[in-house]
Amino acid sequence: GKLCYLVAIEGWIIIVSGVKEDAEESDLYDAFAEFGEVKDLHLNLERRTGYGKGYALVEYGCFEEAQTAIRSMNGTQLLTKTIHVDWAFNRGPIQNVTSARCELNVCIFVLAIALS
Amino acid sequence: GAGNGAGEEAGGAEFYLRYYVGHKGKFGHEFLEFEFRPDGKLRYANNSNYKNDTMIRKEVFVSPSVLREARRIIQDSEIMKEDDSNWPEPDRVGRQELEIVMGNEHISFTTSKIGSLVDVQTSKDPEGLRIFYYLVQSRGIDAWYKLGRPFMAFPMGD
Repeated sequence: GKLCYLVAIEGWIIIVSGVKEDAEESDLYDAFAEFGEVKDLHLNLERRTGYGKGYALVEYGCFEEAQTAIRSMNGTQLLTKTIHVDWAFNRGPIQNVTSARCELNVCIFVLAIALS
Repeated sequence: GAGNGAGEEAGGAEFYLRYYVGHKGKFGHEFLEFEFRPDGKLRYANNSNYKNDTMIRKEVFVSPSVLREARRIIQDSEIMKEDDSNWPEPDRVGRQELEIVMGNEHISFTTSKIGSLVDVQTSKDPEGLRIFYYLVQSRGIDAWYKLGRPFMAFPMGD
């Protein structure tokens, strides 16, 4: 199945993961503002130390801006650390390829049939 | 009990998380609960009877990236190594439940509400309870709740 992306009712939210521990909101903002107006941004801080727990949510007003941000920034470096950027929400459940475990069961079944 | 095998995350390893905090009191059953399912469905329910608020229930699907990040946070916290046997029992003030399935590991913790770090430090298992406390206190919450027309609120501790 193919993944479709839907987001929040009012906005298009992306998740930026792998954010360096001492990054600040302004660093994220500076990196992502070039793709469109950043409607909202939140950097998740680890409460105990105040350092970043490693992800940020960035919201744009339109799909194209968010998509461009994803395509441009995914796998790039932010403050010397590689970040991954993706949609935060999906329209539906994650459609998996058959897991290795399922494939194994099918193989065993087929073998059992062949041997019987 | 353990996860019901309800689907597997891309990559073949199961991930499920449920958190509940609430109490039954003067205003009825007030609670907040959210649940990440292996297929990405995120369910949130918040029932507050104070001022006659109605139940809020929301569902949305999160991306594999979000599930991956949730897993990473759980891994980093090392909560899966902990054990609630010496944690305070739920009481009239309230109850918290945390259930996580990650691959072959499963935890199911039940404890009281935690007011502050003082409660953690004076407990019988301050190290373990501290990990739990910080995990559920994560400020990631605010963000999702704020942006969150779809929700996702990690509960704020009381």
